[in-house]
Amino acid sequence: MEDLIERVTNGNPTAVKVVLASVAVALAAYQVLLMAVGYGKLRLPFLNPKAASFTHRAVGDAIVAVTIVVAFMCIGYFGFEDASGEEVRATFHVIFALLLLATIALKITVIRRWHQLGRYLPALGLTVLVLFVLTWITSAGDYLMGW
Amino acid sequence: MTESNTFRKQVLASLVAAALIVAITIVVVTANLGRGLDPDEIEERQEQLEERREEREERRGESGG
Repeated sequence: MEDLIERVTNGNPTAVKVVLASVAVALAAYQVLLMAVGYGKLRLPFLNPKAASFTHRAVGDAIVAVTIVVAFMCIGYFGFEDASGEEVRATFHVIFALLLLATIALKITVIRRWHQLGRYLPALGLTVLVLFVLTWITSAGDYLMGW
Repeated sequence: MTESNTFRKQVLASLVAAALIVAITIVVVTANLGRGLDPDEIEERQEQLEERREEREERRGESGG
């Protein structure tokens, strides 16, 4: 597993993970904007709610794919125990990341099967964004900005 | 212009916006990689990666031989 990740990332798993995680966070912020238009909270003359919702779904699928790849790299290469002397940051990162994966799974379940909980989708979406940001800050943010 | 034509154009434009966000993020993040770490820390992390590689190779050697 570690060899595969090293080969695919050309020996730079951390850098590739940081870039992919940052892409996921940037797209997650864009998703909130799209759904603000989709729910009619934000009115833009050049984007109607139906088109915004459609794009939200397509971009969401891409984010899930990127997130799964990042999670696979993170667990497969670094594991749960490799804190590299930064136990507190790493522990928070693992907690936020697991919560993020669980919330994404719940959101997808609500969209596809559990329609009676549809009224909670905006809250779930915002939770996903917050967890994306927290997961990013405790990993990529630390690497990029020394937080 | 028909309604479906407008819809298609808006979806396409918003997907292009998403692609731009991805491209800009990749450029900005790649340009700032490691900026938050001081040179010692970068060296330390590089050493840790090297150690991991060596450990893996040792493990592979043990299981193979």
